[in-house]
Amino acid sequence: MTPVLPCRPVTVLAFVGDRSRPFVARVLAALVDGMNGSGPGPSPLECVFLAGHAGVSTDAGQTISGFNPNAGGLPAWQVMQGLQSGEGFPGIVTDDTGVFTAASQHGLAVEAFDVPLPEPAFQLFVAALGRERQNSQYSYGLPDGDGDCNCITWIERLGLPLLSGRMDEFIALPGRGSHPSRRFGRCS
Amino acid sequence: MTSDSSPRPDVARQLGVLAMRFRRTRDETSRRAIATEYAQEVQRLIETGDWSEAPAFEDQLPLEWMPEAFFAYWCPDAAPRSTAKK
Repeated sequence: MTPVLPCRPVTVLAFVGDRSRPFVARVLAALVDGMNGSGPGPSPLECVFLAGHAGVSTDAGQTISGFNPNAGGLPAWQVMQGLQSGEGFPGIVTDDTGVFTAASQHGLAVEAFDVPLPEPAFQLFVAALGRERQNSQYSYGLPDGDGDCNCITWIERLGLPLLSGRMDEFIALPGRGSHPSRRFGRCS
Repeated sequence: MTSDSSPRPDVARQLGVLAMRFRRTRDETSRRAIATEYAQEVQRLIETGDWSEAPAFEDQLPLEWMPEAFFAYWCPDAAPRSTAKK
């Protein structure tokens, strides 16, 4: 009999953005100030709290890597505006452990689930993640924008399944019907 | 970390559909038409009297394309200056 290899879990973590009125009002006001030139705009962390984020960990959440737009010195409000306009930005993979900790402290529910992989597949994932940390090959963008992926679909680019594989779950996905196509990447 | 598996209501789903359509085109006329539809949907949500969760970041248009009613509802103290394209 072939011995069964032990599994190693990749943990997927995510939080939905803060959509509460007080927070949205504060960040919207800061975004408008930034656009009007009457203020610095929101901080990058406030933007992440507004947008939500996803990341992966290969050490049970001790270190969480996330895919982000590389602003290249642009203020956060300008990046937000660009993304909402459909622009793509160079992608960068960073250690976002602190972002998830801060999100939790902010009161956002950080969801997590494991994807156990056989050791060889786990090592391939770790290697791919390492290459991405060095220099991501993907650009960042929102669905139907010019970027290759966002923080969620980047995880799929790494080959990690985000769905359970249950047909009922797949068919019941609300976005399947309301978003019958979803472009990532610049094409016509 | 918490694990809340309850499904989130998606009352603003149509806004997401429109935001994706907006990003799909660079044509100013098309974008203006989408922004008009977006404003109508924002108005509908406001009139429900029960719009308690702001749309997701990716379900919003760029600030200068957002309807004034959106700012009046979510952030009365802020609205983009005259560069607004609505």
